[in-house]
Amino acid sequence: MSFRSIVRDVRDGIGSLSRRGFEVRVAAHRRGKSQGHVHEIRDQSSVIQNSCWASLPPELLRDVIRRLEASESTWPSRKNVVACAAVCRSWRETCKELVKNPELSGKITFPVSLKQPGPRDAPIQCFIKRDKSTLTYHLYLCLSPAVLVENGKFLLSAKRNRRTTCTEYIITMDADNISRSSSTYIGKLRSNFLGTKFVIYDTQPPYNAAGLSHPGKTSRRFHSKKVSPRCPSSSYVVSQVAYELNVLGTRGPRRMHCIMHSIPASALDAGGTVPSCQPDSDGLFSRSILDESFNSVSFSKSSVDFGSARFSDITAAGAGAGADDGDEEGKARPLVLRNKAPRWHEQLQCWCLNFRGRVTVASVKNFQLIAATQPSAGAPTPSQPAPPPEHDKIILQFGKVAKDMFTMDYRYPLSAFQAFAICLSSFDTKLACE
Amino acid sequence: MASQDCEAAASSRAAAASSQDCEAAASSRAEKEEQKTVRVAASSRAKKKEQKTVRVAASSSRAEKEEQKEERRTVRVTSNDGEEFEMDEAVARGSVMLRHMMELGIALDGVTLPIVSGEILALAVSYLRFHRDYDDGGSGYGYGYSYGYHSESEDTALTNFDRDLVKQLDQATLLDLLAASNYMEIEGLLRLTCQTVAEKLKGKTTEEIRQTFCIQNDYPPEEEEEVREEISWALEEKSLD
Repeated sequence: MSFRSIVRDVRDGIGSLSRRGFEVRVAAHRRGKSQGHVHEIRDQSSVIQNSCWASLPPELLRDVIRRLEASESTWPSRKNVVACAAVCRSWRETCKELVKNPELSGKITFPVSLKQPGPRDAPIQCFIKRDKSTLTYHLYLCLSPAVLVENGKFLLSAKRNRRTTCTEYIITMDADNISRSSSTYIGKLRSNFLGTKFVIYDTQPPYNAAGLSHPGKTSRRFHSKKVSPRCPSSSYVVSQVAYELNVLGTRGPRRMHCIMHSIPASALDAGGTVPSCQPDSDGLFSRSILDESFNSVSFSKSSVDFGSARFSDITAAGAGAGADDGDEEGKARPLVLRNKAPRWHEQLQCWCLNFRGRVTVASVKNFQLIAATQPSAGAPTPSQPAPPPEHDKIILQFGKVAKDMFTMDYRYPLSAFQAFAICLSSFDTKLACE
Repeated sequence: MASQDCEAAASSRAAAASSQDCEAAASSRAEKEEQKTVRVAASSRAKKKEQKTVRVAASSSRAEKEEQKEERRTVRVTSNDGEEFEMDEAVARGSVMLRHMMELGIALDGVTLPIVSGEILALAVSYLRFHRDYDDGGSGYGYGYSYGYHSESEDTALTNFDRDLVKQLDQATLLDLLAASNYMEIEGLLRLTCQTVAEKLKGKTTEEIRQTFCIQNDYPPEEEEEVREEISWALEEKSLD
């Protein structure tokens, strides 16, 4: 290559690099100064619809937003990230790429974070405020480590509706207007008459939703396709919670089991994940493929109609290998959680669990959920006072700290929405303990 | 005469004449002739030198001149509206683009930047000048050569300089400076301007951001609704009582 050709290439390169192309438009648009001197590169000057900022090269926009996101890591200032994502489509794309989901970052940023699994190492600490006069519950993200300080970022709200045969809790993202018909409705919890069995419904389908869905219109939440508010949104069974008396009857702490249909048991294995049916599950909007794949709705009777079914039937059906899912491709065994058994403290004459300072008031509602390892349904063997060694990580912890205030700490593989719904069931169940 | 012999000897073979061949041919003759040949070879070499490009001669003579001064070379950079800035090459090295041009030897007659205005270039040059002294610890070799020890007052002076540089800029100028630092590849200035823009975004609502930076809302109606809900969720400050 001759020296001249090198020079020519470099000069051409400087003039035509695409990432610098936008400055042509900038220079041409600068009011006054340099306009007269850029005639030869004026081809783009008339084309701008947006201003020069909107045509900032993506890598520069990314750098700016990355700096913003890194410095606004806690609420309430994290709202600035959400504000930027809402500016326009290119900004939203950039934010989508930069913001990591809670599993990776431990941070809640966008509403979709509420339905994504929590972090694996340390739990996300939240608290729930109950208002008995309005029958509402509000979930907040803790903003300070102290347990009794009421300093939080609002996450979700729930309202209790008592019906003839059951009780329902509507869960929404709106702090004040908590209603099923609102576009902020994201799911519900329904209990049976006795308050011993609960089903959690999600408007968003889980990865294996075909076997779990409830007939209904396409969900409105987190989807780009809008449906009129009058149409009922669809409900997918994502979890079932059941309370049972201990073998000691009311003299012992009650037992809880949660079958997480939307989370495979393999999620807790090394390298396991919680699959989701959205192609970009860590994005702001799950542009889901549901609209097409969701027309076939198979109503799984035994998993929904549990008013008369025994719990063991439900568990067997939900625990995979059941008859329902013959047509499912390798339906994975769902994750089952159970509460960690408290120990009887002889001297204090009470049942004790180590809440590590996050729960300070004794209450039958307090619990810690861990993974149950054995796949079959049914009660743990009654003769063992201590549970066999299992996954020891506490996936969900809930307990009272003040009159209408409770802490909720959750981690992978549960999401904030699932954790909240499970905790709500603890409010409602009638099984007491002496 | 002898040179003709040399050339004749060369042309009598098929291969190209090299000075060695000349000398080899000449060495087979008498010593006198050998000496003559050597002298002639030397003079033909001198002629070849003269035939080299003027640029090299110019630069070597310029280099000789400058060696007589101190070790200082400058480069002239011109904005698209004709403003000229002369700076030491050591200073200009702070711009990776200028550094490459200097290394390729195409900056010797000055560089014109077709997309950077005089106002912006002035800011960039002042940044380069200030930071050159800082980053190379005054050794004079420019960016990337050495990092001197900095006292706390020097660090503060640097921070103050950076802050004052961007403090007064309006949006359009800040954008132009960001673009220019990207174009000229001045890393520190790019970092500074990006950080400044990020700071300006903080605390603003979405609508304020759009107005300040003149960006249009390009969401289709169905997405618009969800975006709005997202924002109202993020801003929700339910009172706790």
